[in-house]
Amino acid sequence: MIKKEIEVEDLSKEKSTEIVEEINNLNSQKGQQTLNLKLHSTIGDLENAMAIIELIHGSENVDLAINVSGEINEAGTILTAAGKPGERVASQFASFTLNESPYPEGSKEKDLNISDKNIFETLTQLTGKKKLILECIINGKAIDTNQARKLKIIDRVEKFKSKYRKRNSRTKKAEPVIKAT
Amino acid sequence: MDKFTKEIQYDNAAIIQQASHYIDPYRILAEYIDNSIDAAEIYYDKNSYSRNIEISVIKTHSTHDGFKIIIQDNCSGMEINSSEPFTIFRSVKRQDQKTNGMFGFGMFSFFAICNKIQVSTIRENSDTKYSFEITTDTFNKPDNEKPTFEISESSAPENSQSGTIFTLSDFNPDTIESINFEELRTEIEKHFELILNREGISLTLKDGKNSAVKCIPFEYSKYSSETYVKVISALEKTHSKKKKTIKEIDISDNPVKIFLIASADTEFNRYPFFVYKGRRVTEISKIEQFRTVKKFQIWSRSNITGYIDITGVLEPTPNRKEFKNTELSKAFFQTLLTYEDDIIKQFDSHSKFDTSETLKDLETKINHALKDFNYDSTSKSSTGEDRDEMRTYKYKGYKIRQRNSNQILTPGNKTQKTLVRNKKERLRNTIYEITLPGGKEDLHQNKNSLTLKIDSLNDPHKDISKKPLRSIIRENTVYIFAKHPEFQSRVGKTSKSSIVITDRLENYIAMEYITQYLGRINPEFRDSYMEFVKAVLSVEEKFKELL
Repeated sequence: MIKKEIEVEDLSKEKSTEIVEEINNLNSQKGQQTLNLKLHSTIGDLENAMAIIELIHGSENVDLAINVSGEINEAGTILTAAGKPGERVASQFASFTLNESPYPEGSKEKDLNISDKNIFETLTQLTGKKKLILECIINGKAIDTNQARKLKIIDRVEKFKSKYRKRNSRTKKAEPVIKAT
Repeated sequence: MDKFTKEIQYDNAAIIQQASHYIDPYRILAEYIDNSIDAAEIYYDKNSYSRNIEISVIKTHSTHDGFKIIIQDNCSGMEINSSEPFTIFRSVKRQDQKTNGMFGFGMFSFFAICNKIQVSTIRENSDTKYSFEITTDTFNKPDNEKPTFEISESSAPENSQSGTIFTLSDFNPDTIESINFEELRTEIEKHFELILNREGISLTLKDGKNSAVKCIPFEYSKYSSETYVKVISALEKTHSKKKKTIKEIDISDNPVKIFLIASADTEFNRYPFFVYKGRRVTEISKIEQFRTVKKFQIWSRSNITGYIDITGVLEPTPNRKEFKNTELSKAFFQTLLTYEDDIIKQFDSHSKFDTSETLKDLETKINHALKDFNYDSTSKSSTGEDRDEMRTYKYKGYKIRQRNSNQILTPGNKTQKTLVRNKKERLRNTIYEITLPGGKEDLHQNKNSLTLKIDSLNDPHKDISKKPLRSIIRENTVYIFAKHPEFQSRVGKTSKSSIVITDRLENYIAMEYITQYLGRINPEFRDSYMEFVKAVLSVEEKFKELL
């Protein structure tokens, strides 16, 4: 299995082209391939993300693994969610934007503007978490990694580990179980 | 619950509106030629006709009132049945594998360009001549009145041959100006290429007093080229993505024929196309259902031409811009992808390009300067409209269950079962679509990544009329031919061994690059860009003399 890695900060047309070319390259190779995208404070347009997703989801032998750090915008969030379930990892302090401008309290799906509706529907279909996604879009606040995990946008959070921190050696002993005879 | 029946009525004049879908006047004239070719099928067998088929298109040169286009043939004539009504959108030819007609509408396409058609026909082995005319008034009738037209029946003159004459008249003034017989010839030669290759058929065009011009098919053998011929008699389609199994579909009754040629030094600029029953459908690179990443490597490569005959496998839609989505069409496009590497392998060895690094420094400098070049042509399309076109993207997601909020769940209600959590892992296997603006350009076809190479080794490639080309584009590289006289006349004279960039040469290279760049964005204007540069260069030459 071949694993390629590309770093993405600006999901521009040029960057997307680079990714698309890499997917095509992997596609032409035999066996299962994985493209690892390292999204770091990613910005960019949704159509560039969708072009990548379309190609990945249409490919039989290329999977998309995602590593996220920093603040990710809507296109990056959708790209993350579209990654292979189980292969979407975020660093502890990453955050995801689903929508920047909040809607009035009590807003419903029908109140979303066309661009938010697109994000809502795509994320719902990619994660299956309709209600929670809608709540986040209406709130208009960036979400942290724990929320992103609940929303099934990511699968795992890599926690920051200080090398100076001592491992806690105190472990609770299990209470002896007395079985009635 | 009460029920009542609502009648559906088809507006009598709808057919006139329907005809407005035909935008191209040549396409309309091709419909009548197509009818003639269909009527000649009974004489056709094993690549030749048992009698000489003559089809002619005649344009009368006269005032607007008398302007007519006549399409006449000596084929088998139309079958006129007085006892049966004429049913639009139901073609008797649909089930006939040999003929092309299938939608039952082609005869009425004239409404897009003129208001009247006169038809005169004599059927094979018949001594009766039938004549009738259809005008816009035939259909402009109250809805309670059925459209009718009169057919005159008379004895055919002695020894007269079978055949049909269509006379189109009462043209819209704008259309008269837009019909150019030279362009019609090009269109016919392209559209009926394979038919014109048959023995015993001739198609001539006569424009007023000018002598008749015969339509000649493209002669593939005229060009020294590499040929790729393949017959596909089985298609492959993914049966199960999960199990990675493939289903094979036998098409040996109607095998697909691929015929492509690639020339080492001729730029045909006629991209490979699909052929259905001998008629050109559209260019392969324009079919959206065919999701290839090798468009510029094969299907839009100017030195490759040819066709793929898909008769019996794919069925074109009425606008002939795509094919009906069927299991066969999916399997065909999937199978065609597997042949791409084979085609590239065969043709790449046949390309003639300067791969030397003689001018590497110069090219590096030019390409470095071009790196930041980003001509904002995307704000306006070729037609001047905003280029904010929509593109649909497909992706896989989870199946979303639509819950009915009015449903009351009671212990006895069956719908309660749906609330039981399924322990099986959910799979993203539902295909969704999202349509977003600004996605017309495919990313792998990014025009901004063109690089430039100066070919100082080879003679300039030629166009189809053997004229040397100043530059060409191949995949993402613009090749400028240093041996072209226009290039040579701009090279600095101070050095014998190397190219010295002069202002004029700089200007020349810039113009060639932008011609190719814009030509890729707007292929329909490609020839105009090249013509414009040619004119600029000749004016520049005059200025040089003045100064």
